Amino acid sequence: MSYWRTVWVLLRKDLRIEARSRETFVSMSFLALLLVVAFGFAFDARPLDPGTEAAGLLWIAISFAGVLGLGRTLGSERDGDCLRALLLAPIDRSAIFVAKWILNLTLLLAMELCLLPLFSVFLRVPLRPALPELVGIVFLSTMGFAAVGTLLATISSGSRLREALLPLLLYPLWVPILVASVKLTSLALIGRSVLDGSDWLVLIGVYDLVFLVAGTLLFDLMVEE
Amino acid sequence: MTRLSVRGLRHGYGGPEVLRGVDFDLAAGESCLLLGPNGAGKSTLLGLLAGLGRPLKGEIRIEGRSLDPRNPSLRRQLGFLSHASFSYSNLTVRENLRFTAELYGVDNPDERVRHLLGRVSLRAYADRPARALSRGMSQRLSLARSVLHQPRLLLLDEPLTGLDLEGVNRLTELTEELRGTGTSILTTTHDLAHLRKLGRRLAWLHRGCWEDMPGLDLHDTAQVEAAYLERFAGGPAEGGGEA
Repeated sequence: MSYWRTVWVLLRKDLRIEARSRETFVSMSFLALLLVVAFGFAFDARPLDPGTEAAGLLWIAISFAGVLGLGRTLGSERDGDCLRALLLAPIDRSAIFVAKWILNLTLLLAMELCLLPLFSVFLRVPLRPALPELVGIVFLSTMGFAAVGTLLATISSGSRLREALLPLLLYPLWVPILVASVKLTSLALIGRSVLDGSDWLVLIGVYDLVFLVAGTLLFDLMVEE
Repeated sequence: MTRLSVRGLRHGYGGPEVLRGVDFDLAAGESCLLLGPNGAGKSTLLGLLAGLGRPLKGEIRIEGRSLDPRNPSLRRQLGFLSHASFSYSNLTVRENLRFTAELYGVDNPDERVRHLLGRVSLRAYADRPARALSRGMSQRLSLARSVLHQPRLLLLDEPLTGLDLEGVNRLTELTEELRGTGTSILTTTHDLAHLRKLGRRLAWLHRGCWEDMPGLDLHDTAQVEAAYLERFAGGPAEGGGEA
């Protein structure tokens, strides 16, 4: 079976499980909604400064809700010790990482798709003029967020303290991309070209690449007993 | 022809070693039963043979090739029935088997899954989620899963757990059929009553070492039990810690 066919078989299984339980998507989206509502009340009727406050709050909501979902990366494998079953299968084990990364990316993007319009409504931030740039930034950053999250969720999955361990490991590594995302989102929301922040774009691109390659190469080592 | 060859296998979990130099061979088509008290290292041994981890020392060869846990091609030859169900509770019985069949590249997966569902008497439960199965039914699903790809080496870790008499018979039929096609089978069990159904050769793990017991008659449960009690009088194996 080809590598990408293996990835598809693994991903299809995970999507089917998520479609039935909706566990990850619902919990992430609910937290994102809760944060946006809380921010909305905190700032009351005052319009946010799109160049500073709005970008920061958007990425805070994405970060907190995202970690909740990333923590469930290997949740379906824990039940019934299915990760060991996958390790027994005659497949390239890095395909498991790639499938989990695509799953996390899909779920995070779906959560963000729900979050953006709610954010615009509750915080009275007009997103429409900056929408194409914003979608691009969110997509690029989420690729890296999903990659580093999948990698660290795998590392922490063997620990009994995994729920506490993942945020501790993830947030420090997520900071560079979080800062870059906030800066680029600020530029987009004040109507400037994101190319004015090309250094931040390069940082996100390199970050995505590094963690995708690292996850693919190291997954086998991380899951070995 | 030697299917499995194990030499000088040592393993532990930081404390005293559980396996202290395991040596044995398993021929093609041979079925061997492995006994030992809790903590003797039976599950640890089977896990290492399945490629789920690296031994501290020693070598495992399957059909003459050294077992490397990162080499996918040798894993195709192995079937493993573990204590865990290895099944996804939110997938149906059929979906669980279909998923495994695809991962192992089984030809005509739908046909093979349908056939095995019949062999383990799970056809009526095929479209129910795995979480709805009883312990025994779940064990049947695990059995079907472990033989789905017709492995050349089948490792069964206490396969009788939760099985009723019909389940035991189904297991025996399936393993005998596989053995007839040259599959080698290594089974751990605590169930002395069904020894003769599960294997032809008897061995046990004592103080982390493999000991063959060629003189014992598997039909004579009392004889095996007496020999077992004599060997293991004094409690569990030293340095135990079955994983």
